[in-house]
Amino acid sequence: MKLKKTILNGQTVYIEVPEGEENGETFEAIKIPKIDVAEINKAANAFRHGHHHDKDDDEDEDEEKHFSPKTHKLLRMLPFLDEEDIHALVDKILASDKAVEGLDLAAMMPFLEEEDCDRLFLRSLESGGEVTMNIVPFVSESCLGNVIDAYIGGKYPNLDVDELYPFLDSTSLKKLLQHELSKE
Amino acid sequence: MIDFVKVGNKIARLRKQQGLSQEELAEKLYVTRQALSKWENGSVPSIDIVLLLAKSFDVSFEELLCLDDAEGLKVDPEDLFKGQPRNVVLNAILTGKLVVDLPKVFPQFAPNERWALLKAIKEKKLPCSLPRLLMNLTPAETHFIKGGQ
Repeated sequence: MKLKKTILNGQTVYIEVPEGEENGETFEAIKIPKIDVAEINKAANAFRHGHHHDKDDDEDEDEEKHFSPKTHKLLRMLPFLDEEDIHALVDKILASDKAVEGLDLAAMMPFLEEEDCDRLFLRSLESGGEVTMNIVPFVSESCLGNVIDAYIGGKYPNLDVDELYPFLDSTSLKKLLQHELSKE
Repeated sequence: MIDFVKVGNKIARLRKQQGLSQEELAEKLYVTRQALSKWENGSVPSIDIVLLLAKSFDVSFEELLCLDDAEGLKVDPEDLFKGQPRNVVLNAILTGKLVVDLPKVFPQFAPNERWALLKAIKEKKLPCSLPRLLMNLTPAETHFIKGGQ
């Protein structure tokens, strides 16, 4: 039996060479790109760690948040739901149905239509509570543009535009920055 | 969507053009050198900092943020999420704004992200070579993607 030297995940391992290849030169190392398993596992907490914003260099970015059992269960179902089912689910969330209370919106977003993402984002803003900015990448640019227009007009005084601005289209971003400049 | 890797490169270039070290510019902006280093490496500064940097470099914020360079999101297929928030990359793929070789990059996604992609592929919203993709799927994912075909 001949062994072939291989670098896997940054470690050197030896794998058995198939019989037919035994006569050839087999000791050439094959480099396999290093896969950051820890990073992938961290992202399995999904969409929460989406956008990282640095206000402070000491900011702790390792805070691990896990889905609630309800969200976890829903995430396993979502791929199997059709558009109508998902739309109905969003309607339930918007109607504050107790059955869907406590669901993690950010985790659901990749499975939703853009229109539903917009509705959930606006609802989240209107409710005045803390807006999960991880849902912003899934919101349409036109919806974000309308939100910025409203913010400039004095609505949403507590909106954290620092979190929002990376996702704006060029026109809305220019408007927002002109507005911030005019405040100085 | 702003490309903050590009913005970071621009900040570094403008700083060097002014002959400033990271320490010197950080001191001028009342931030730490580490914070400045992060922005130069693609992290997102606050709006106040963007305006301050533009003023300090004597350029417009449009120029600093590369707003007039009409280019889409750029990613490294070997390291899809480098310098970009995961949600942004995922959404760009799901909406067709970013085209990648899905079977090749699929192992880089987390389980929930994989399911979202598989759902879009199954609903034919996302074009993908199934025979190549199948090699990268778990049995449950294979069952899901093959079901109903």
